[in-house]
Order: sequence, then C-alpha cells, then structure tokens
Amino acid sequence: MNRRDALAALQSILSTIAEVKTVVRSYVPIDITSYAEAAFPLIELQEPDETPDSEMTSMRQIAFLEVATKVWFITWGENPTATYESLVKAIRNKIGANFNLNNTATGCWVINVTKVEGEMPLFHFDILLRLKYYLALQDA
Amino acid sequence: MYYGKGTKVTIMSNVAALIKPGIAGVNFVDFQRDYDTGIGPEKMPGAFVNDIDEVKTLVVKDIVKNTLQLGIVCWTRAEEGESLWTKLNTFVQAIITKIRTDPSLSNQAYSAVVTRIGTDSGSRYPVGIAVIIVQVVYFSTV
Repeated sequence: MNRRDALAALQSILSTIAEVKTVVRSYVPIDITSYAEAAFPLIELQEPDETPDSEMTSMRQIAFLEVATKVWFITWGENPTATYESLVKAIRNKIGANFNLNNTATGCWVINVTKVEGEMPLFHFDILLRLKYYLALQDA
Repeated sequence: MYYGKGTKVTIMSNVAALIKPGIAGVNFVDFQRDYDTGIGPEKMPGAFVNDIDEVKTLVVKDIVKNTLQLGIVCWTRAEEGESLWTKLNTFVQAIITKIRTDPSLSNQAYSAVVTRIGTDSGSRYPVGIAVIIVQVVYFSTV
C-alpha cells in the first residue's frame, strides 16, 4: 500500500458517483472560474499531508492521510440545501461502500462535513476524509 | 426554478414595459435613448430607462454575474389645482410597486431592487422630475 495508489483509487471511486461530473486532484487551490457549468458538481481533492505512525502489536508502519475534498456545485434553485444534502449522502455512501479503496488502503472514513457556503448559483462545502494504510516497506 | 439568465436589452425593455403599458395613464416611455427635441406636454407623465453602470463577475467559465444599475428618470406635470408632489409621489410609488411585484422582470433577472430615489425638489415646477436607481442582478454566459 502506498500514498499514490490510495489517492488514485480515491479519485477513481469518487468519479463513479452518478451525481458528480468531475474529480480533480490538485496541489494548489484550483481556479474554479476555469471550469464550465457542465463540469459541475466538481470534487477538488487537495493533496494531503501524511502522518506516519506505528501499531505496537505488529510494529508495522502505518500512515494517515487527511484529505480535504472540496465539493463545488451549481444550483439555480432558491435554496441549495437539497443539492447539498444529496451530494453529501452520495459521497458518504460511496466512501462507505468502498471502505478500503479497492484494497489500496486499510480504511477510509468521513470525519467531517462542513456547512454549505457560497452564493447563487455557485456553492461549495468541504468533506474531510481520513485514509489509513500500511506502508509497503514494512510489509516485507 | 429561478434562473435570471436574461440580457441587458430585454431587462431594460421589461422595465420600460412595467411603466408603460404597466401603469395606467403614462403617456411615454423609452429606454437607452435621449430626445434632443425635448419633452412636450404630450409625453407627460413619462419616463426614460437608461443604464448607468454594469459590473461583470466571472462565476465559472461560462456563467457571468452581472450587476446592472438602471436609472429611471420620470417626470409628470401638475395641472391647475393639482398638487405636484402628490402626482409625482403617486407616479414614483407606482413604479416602485411594479418592480417589487415582479423583481425577476418576467424571469429575466435574479433580482431587481430599488436602491435610491431623488427628485428635483420643486426646481422645475410645475414639472416634477424624479430619478429612481434600480440594481438588477442577472446571469449570462459572456
């Protein structure tokens, strides 16, 4: 297991959510004005920090990734709540159904969902994910 | 659904239509124009709808938020025995009510709000002039 595969799998899994049109991995905050309306809802996967740790029972090295995903969506309705709620549910369900990210991680959890922000028609919210995986080096 | 994806011309045209034929008794309205021949009695009460300023903000690649400031210059005339201020206030109030009743301007705008009102303070008696500033927000692709 390694960071590269886990993040690639996360992007791939999020891309299969029916409601989501685009998933982008980025090292710096993206310029949202460079995306057309047809690209939304859009998930921005910001490159996470990595926290190493170890488990005493096996002394296997593990790593945690805290991935901030920013979800952008456009709604022309008067209230964004319905779209917000359905996107949160769809993402939570997808993560829950792919807990080990196609065997690239030991686990992936949703640990925080922020409230929706923005103004008509563009809104966004954050979903914070925690990924845990065993480092390949210690598997040997 | 409340889109507010109009165009500047249709928005101004709709504001003009709210005044005439929207308000009974109004004899003249036009938009984006000035008349060098002057305004005669046959055009009273009447109004011009002209743009003052427009700010465009890119929301995403193909959605632009437009904040348009419109100036409605309206005028009326007091005949003998009539109160100019009553006539002018009634006219201004009728325009404001029309905009408040249809802030989407027939589904062309996201919002339309009256932000300022000024008058000539009686300097042109028996003609009374008022300026109504309306802020309109609408969305477009460019």
